[in-house]
Amino acid sequence: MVEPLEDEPGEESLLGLDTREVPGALILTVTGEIDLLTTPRLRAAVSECLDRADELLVVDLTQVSFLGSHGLAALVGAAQESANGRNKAPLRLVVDGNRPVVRPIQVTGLDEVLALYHSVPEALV
Amino acid sequence: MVSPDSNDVDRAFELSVQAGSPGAEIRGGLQVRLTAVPAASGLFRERARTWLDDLQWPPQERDDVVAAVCEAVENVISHAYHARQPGEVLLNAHVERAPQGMRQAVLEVIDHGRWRQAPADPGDRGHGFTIMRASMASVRTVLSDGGTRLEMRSRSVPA
Repeated sequence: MVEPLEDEPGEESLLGLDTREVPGALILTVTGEIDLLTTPRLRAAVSECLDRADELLVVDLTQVSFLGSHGLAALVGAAQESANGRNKAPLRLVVDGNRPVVRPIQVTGLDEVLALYHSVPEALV
Repeated sequence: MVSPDSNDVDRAFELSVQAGSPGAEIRGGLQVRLTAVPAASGLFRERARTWLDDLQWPPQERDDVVAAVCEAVENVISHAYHARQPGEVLLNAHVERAPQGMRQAVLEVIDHGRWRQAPADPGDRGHGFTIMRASMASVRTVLSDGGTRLEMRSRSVPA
């Protein structure tokens, strides 16, 4: 059975990337699913925001419904870019109790590597 | 916002989705066969999620099985990513009775190998297998001349 794909993976694979500026920080809100298909766009957006943010970059992942290993690797890469790059803003991730995001981070032990926060206000302090 | 790569979407056409093959399983099985391109990842997740929802699988256990399927499938796809003509990746799944009135999902992710290229980045591969093992009761890779078969069993859930 052959199905048309135009409208099939679209909704599943949609990744929303919205930015807003607040005093002292840039906030990137991510919605949707972070998988092999969408990870390159997430990685590019975070890199761009790390360049744009003056003091702090907060990435809100509380509305992400799936996070796979490629997305994890991208977040670790972004954290390293933030920590090692010249004039790069610190990177803080807001995950709260969002299980699709928290579980892969915990089982891979990356909660030791990533700066995780419960809420955007907490990450901004 | 940037839209998904339309080439990938076009190439990931689905060849078959069947439900209901008989055997040792206690309910209908699932078979999904897709071209091994990144856009197929979300389709495999959607098919696995729908199948488990139809079986009234507990939501957290369902999410873990879907995550394991996704990692298995993406492992195949990322190997194939640079091949000129990606092959196919196949998911077979069924449910078996487990002791004490429980049931288990049994899944295999199969590729036919010849089109596969060098392994993906070891870091990604490591995280992917870690997630699979944390999400399932068992994970086993079987290599053969024809390709690779990854066999996974879910944790038992109430029938």
